[in-house]
Amino acid sequence: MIERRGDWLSARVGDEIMMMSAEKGNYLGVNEVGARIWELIETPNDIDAVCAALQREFVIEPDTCRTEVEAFLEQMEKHGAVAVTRP
Amino acid sequence: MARLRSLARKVRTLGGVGHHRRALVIEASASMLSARVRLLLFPFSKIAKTLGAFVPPTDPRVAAHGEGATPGQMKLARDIGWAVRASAPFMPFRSVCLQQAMAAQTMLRRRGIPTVMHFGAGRGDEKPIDAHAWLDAAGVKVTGYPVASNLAEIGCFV
Repeated sequence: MIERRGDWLSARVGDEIMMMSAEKGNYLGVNEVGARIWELIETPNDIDAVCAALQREFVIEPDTCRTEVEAFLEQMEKHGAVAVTRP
Repeated sequence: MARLRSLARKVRTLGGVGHHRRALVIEASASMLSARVRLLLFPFSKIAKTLGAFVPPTDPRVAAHGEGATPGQMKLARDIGWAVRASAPFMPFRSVCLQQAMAAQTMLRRRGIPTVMHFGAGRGDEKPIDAHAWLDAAGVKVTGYPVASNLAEIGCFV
């Protein structure tokens, strides 16, 4: 299960989103696919559902998709923007 | 005191400045210095707690902040914005947008005028992320304007 964490707010700039947390005192820039993942976890979601949605919307192989999503979530977890509960 | 005298001399070089505005420039300089020191001593996460509630730009408090502002308050907000911008070149440090917004917020709060401090960001030419802070009060643009078109507003302190 993947959940958003902290007080991050975001705004769209073209295809990307810019994010800011007052608690962290930090900014993040997130690309188009990451922005879509952020939207998909507005309510808690699981990685299978996220990957399924991305595969419908982007041209990407299932294995690559999962690897990239995992890497993205790991980065976001480091910034305190998401919490990932792994089975 | 020597520094204050020196500052007063600098302030007098601002042509045509009346007493009210001169006093505001001195206060603005002190507020700017205070903001600078706070930013050096404390992480932003701690300072953020003093700026207000961090909300999205769509929060109704953002649009409503200037409701009921009197002409006197609007003039004060404009004068304070002017004073902060006018004092910036005289500071012994680079007075970036956040310090100006913080200094102006302090001065306005002292007079009971609510503010909205906006934060935005976008892709930068020189840095990966271009971040900016700007302040409104009494429906008036106080500091940090104009806001570059490549920036998107992310959040506000109300």
